[in-house]
Amino acid sequence: MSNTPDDIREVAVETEVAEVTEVAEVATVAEPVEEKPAKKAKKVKEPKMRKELIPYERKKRIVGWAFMIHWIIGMLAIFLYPLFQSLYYSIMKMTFETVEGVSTTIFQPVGLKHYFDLFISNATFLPQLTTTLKNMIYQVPVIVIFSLFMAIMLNQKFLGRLIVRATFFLPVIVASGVVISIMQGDQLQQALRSQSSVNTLFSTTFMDTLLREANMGSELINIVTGTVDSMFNLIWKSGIQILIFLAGLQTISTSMYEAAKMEGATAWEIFWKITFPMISPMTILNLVYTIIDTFRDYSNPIIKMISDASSNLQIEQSMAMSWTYFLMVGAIIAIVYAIINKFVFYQV
Amino acid sequence: MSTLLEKVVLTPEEERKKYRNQKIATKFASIGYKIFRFALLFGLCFVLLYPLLYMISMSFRPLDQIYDPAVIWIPKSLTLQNFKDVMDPLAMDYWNSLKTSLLVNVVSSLMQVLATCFVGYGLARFKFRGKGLMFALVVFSAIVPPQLTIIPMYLQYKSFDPLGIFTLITGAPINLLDSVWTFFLPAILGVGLNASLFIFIFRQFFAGLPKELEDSAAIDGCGFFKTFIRIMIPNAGSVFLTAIILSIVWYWNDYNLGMMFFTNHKTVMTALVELEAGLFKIDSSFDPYRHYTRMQAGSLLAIAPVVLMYIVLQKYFISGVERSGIVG
Repeated sequence: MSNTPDDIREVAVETEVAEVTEVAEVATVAEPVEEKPAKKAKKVKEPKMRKELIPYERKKRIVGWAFMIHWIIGMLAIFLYPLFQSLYYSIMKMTFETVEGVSTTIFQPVGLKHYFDLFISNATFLPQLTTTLKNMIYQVPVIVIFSLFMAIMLNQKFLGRLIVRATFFLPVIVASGVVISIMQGDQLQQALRSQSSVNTLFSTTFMDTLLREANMGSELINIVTGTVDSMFNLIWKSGIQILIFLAGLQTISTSMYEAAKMEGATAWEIFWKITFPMISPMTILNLVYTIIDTFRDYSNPIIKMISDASSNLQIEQSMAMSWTYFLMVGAIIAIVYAIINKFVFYQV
Repeated sequence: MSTLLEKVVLTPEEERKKYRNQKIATKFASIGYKIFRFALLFGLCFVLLYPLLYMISMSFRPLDQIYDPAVIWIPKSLTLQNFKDVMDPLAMDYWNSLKTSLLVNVVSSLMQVLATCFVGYGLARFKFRGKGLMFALVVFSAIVPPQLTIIPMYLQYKSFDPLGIFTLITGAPINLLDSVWTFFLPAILGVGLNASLFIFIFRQFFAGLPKELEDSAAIDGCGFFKTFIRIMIPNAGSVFLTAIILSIVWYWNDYNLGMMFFTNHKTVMTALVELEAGLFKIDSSFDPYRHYTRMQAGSLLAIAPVVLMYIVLQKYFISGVERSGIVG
């Protein structure tokens, strides 16, 4: 029994040999396909070997395209072409005319007029844009930090964990804008009942008075109470983020934690030295996702403006609005990504 | 050296006492943490479940118990009248819209997941020119808001004529609006609702599989497609389940596409959007209380199918997300 490791090694060597012969067999089978080049290089052996490898790689390249061909068609026809069209509409003036029962659309190029109008003559666009961006600036970190905190908590073992987890992912399932707005629509009902004004679900007036007593700046109070008041919305928005963090936490190997514990690290140190760096790629993913999610949200005032404009048949204006908004958010995402990516720890 | 040793050495009695104290302290700390955790999780679960509980409580309640101060959560008697009102063909037309929704959702989700899975595999496992550009496009299409493309798409579907094919065959471009193809077509081509996210998930998953899997399959004489179907897809079971659930849920919750492309048909969500107007048709007297119970009943009906699906599949969903790693 003592020579089992040697046996294993021998067996391993044997299988390796077998694999090599199999490769050779495959190569000989593949030979007839490349008959002509093989004849030319009959005397030199090594180039022949190399030439047989090329078709496989080339084949792989072609098959790679084949796997994506439907998507490329879809991308061109259903994504890029409409995108280009929307850009085209935004620099045009459209007039609808009905000539002899046939309605036609006449396009007149007006340049960047719609874009200038947004910033010069539109009274609501700029204030709405700044509020949206301001909300985004404080909501995004709150959502990301909260979801990291919750993910760490949900990753621990406790009684009823399955139920709690299932509850926390409920917002992923009931994520419809309509249902959430109906859910919040019962404020009136609550107000009728309690004879007091209620701004949002789970809002507080107590906090506001407390902070005013503490002589806090009113701007800061608005942000703090705004965050607390919109706690309901923030929790309901952080389902996917918790999911991503939880999946990330599962990939950290437990041997790291064991080693740290052996060395006498405290839980605080373990979090900052192991969990936080290991989870940082997910943090940046979540940051970007949260920014995208908040700016695509239908309850967002800008998005509402855009869809109102398009339903009023002001298609050019709505397209100009969406392009401006999209470019701004794209710039924000690029800046955030460039800054945060420097601090991200990639394992490989 | 000697001073250090002197400090450490304790009498057995002292040592025992110190050990006991430490143990008590950690025990108290852990109990305190457990209480804190319980309170926090309980509170947050309440916040998350509150709307659902409220919906259930309201929608089963007879009219006179809404402003009854004695009733807060559990009504004295139950009624199904609210649901009956809402299901009325004039209001929500529930059964028909449910049929449309199920057809659109399930079929396009399956198609979309299959299509995006091919793309994700192609991006993860093959090297070809333009791959970087393709991946950049995937990310780009995730960032672009749907409002930018939805109106040009509407116009495109209205007179659908790719490369003049339909003009050649039937003489005129066909109108795809109000047909299920407005959903199926993007799904088949892998550019449906949030498709780029699924491509990303599949790419991350397939990139994480060992290369030896593919090599051994090639040695055993598997072609590329056979490798994909026989080896890769069976490995990706949990990712498939997660992707299908997410896809169904997102299609279900989206009302923007339904509002835009369907005029005569209704999905459940568009029916819910139009419910408020529909309720006036069946009952012109505007009673705010009755209105609220009906709206709550309507939204409960609208989310019931996905919530039921979630309750059944919840265990697989969560473990699938964890194991397969949305993040790789």
